[in-house]
Amino acid sequence: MQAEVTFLTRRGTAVMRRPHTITAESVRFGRGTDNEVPLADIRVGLTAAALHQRADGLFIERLGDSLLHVNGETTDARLVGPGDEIRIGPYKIVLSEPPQGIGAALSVEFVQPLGDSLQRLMTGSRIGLDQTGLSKRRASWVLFVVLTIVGLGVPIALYSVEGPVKQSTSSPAGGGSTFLSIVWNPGQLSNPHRYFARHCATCHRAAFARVEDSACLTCHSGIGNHIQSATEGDAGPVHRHLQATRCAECHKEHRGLQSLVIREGALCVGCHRSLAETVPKAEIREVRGFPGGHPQFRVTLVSDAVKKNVERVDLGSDSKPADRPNLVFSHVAHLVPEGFPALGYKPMVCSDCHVPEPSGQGFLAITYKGQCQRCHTLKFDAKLPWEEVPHGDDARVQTDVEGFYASAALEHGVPPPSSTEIERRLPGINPAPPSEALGRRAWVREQTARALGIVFDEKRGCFYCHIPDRASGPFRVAPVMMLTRFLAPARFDHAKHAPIECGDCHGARHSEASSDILIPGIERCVTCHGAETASFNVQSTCTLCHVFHRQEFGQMRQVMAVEK
Amino acid sequence: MAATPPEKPGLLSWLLFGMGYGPGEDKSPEAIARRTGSKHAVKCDMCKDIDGGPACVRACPTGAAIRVAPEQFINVMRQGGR
Amino acid sequence: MRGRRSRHESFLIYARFRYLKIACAAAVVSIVLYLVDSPYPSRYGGSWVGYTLGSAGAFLILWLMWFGYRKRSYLKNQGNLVAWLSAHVYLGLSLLVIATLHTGFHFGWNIHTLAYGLMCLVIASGGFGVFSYVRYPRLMTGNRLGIGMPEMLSRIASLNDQLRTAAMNVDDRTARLVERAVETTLLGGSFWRQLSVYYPNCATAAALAGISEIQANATPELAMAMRQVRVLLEDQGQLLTRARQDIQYKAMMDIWLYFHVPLSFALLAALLAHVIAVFYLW
Repeated sequence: MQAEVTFLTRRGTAVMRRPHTITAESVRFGRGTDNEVPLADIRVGLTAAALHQRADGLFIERLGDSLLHVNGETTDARLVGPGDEIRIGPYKIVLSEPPQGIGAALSVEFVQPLGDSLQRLMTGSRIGLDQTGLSKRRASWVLFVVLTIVGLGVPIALYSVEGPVKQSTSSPAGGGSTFLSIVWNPGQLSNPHRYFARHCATCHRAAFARVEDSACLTCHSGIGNHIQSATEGDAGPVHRHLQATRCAECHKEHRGLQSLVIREGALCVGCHRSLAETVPKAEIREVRGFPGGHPQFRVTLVSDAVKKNVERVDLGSDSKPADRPNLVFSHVAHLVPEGFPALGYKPMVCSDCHVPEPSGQGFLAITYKGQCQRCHTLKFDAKLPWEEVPHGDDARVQTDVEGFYASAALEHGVPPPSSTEIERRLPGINPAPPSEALGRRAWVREQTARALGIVFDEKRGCFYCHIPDRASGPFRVAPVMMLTRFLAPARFDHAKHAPIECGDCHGARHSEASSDILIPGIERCVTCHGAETASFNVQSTCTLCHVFHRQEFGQMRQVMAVEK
Repeated sequence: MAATPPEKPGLLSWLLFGMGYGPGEDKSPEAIARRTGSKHAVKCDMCKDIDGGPACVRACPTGAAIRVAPEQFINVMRQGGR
Repeated sequence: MRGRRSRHESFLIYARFRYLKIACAAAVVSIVLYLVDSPYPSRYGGSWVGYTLGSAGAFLILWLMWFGYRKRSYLKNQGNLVAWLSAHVYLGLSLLVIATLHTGFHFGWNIHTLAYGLMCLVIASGGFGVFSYVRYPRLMTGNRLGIGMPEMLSRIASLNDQLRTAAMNVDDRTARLVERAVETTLLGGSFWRQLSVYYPNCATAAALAGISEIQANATPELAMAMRQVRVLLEDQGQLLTRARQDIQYKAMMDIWLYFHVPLSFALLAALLAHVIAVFYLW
């Protein structure tokens, strides 16, 4: 067949045509140079398509793997005629009406240039992290805004909503915000306060304000003072100092489970190292630490049992301190190894008389009824071993004894002088006539005097143990005053020391007089107790034995008006 | 000769809000699109009127940019870049 | 020139480690202060030492963040930028000591520890930045062998053109392989691809693999054309590898800033919240 092929090149609006006429069996299109119509582009297969002249017209068929489009449709083979548009790769082939004698006329145009390689490379590549979607600016804004809202905005809003503590009771549980109390919590809350940990406003009553005493006093209103409360006029420098110090200056919250109660001795020593100079009136000795720097103990002793005076005496002082309870007592005499009949001849032990308090800290007071009566009876008449005088009131003893004999005389009459027995009278017999009363009164007086003599006898009666008050009368007993606590400012817990033998600290086995002081001095304690950081002793701080807030001194602060 | 770059917004407003184009981005498409037509002469005078010497050296964070006198540079070349 | 040094002085060595010495002095002073004060019950951020360290730390954080502004103020005269960067790096490291002592080693699930944690992350990312600035420039120079990215790109583009011409006389399969190698040359891309140098669909590599197979069964004329194509493809492959490696090194020198800067703004917010919270609920 013969075909006229025109290569078109466009430059702007101008079109250049280069016509060729080819004679061949069929017109083949492809990249290879042996094709009738060479299409020099890599996107075209070596032999892409072939155009045949058939009896029924022009027929185009696809060869190889290249795609063939006719009028926009993909096809493998079909009839074509003038006006059809064939696409092979980047080439557009348009069939037109062939002139006379020619089988086909077509124009070939390169319509999809590849473009500049470098341009394509540069636009197609994203080189550099700033060409990706990442943006430092965006990430920064997002994080900043989110954290400001979550860390600052929300907590402030939650706190403002919480408001001041609504309750005025001592159990401010409930309310509050978990989020706020977690996000803004700077440290663990102490154990006893955890039940209202959610409600920050319990203590933090206002924004940007320190925790005031009123917050603490809402619950701890009756907390005791450290020194004896004084009125305005009597307040000394220590009073003023304590008043001006906020609770929170010593009791720091948010420092851990066990943080609230002060244990460090340095806090105490800070003032107590110089109190002897700054407040000499208080008569508090200098304390610089423990055990080094702690003075010898001062025991509280009875100085005058009648006037009920006590004094505090240094255990190490030269003038040997003596207790004056107005009672005669010897521990040695009671701790004899053979024991006593009333107790089954077993030797006595400390706990036979010294009964611990329910808490175990100290001991119950020694009483006649509880401790002494078992053995030391108050019989007054050998013929009446079951009768005892009451204990405690010496004046009443006289009247009771007299009354006893008087009533005996009235009831049973006065026995004849030689008789050693009480005459029993039958019921119904009238009392003796008045002339007998005189004899009766004498008998009563005689019996009473004899009985009282026994009762108040030095060897067998009251004055065996008690001190007579001769100034007031022959049968008057000086008042007794026995202390239960000898180391007043300290708190010794016997229960904690239970495994230790009483005799290891108290020298009772060698004490024969009640004036002996059986309280050990500091030298006994430091055999086991050491400094705060001791490795081989019990670590001891001031608060182990001493208490700061003492109820007996009154209230530390006035009770604040509690907010409703 | 170089085209006059468009008005540059403040450094803070670019840093915080991305307004305008930032330092060194004069050749970005956005900056190029806003260029005025006129050109003016550009020549390096080694910041002779500015205290502290060449700003390009001062502005290099790693100290990689340095200014060397020609005679010194010849020596550097002879020593193989040391 | 006014007395500028004419030899490169790294920001780490600048002025004979002047800022390293200052940072060490600051750290030592902080440690001494920390040990000297022993408040009840334990050291914490609210004691007088704690407040001092906290103020110093906060001021340092603000000054360190100011570096981002200063480094872009090219005409400013307050010190040269190498000095600023040297101070930024070393004082930033000393901040680790100062802030840790300020915490008193109390940590918890709260905004305060979050601020501390963010600070540590910022410092860690900055540490990686220092490391990358010390390591990667040398590697980049070694990889570039004298030509930069624009030159590499234009060389690759020219190889693309040459390949198109050379592939005129090869068979269809080869032509298609070459066409893909030319059309879809991949350089860079997402941040992950830039960092990892993972190009599993590289058309050039695929073309080279395919061509070996075809070459085995080729006719002599075809073989000659294919050899030419192969040489060009290998050249292109090597250039692509170098260019991709260059992109990776550059990305490693940039990626840490995408953590360092946003985290420092997060730190700023957390720091603000921390300071306000501490005094709000005093």
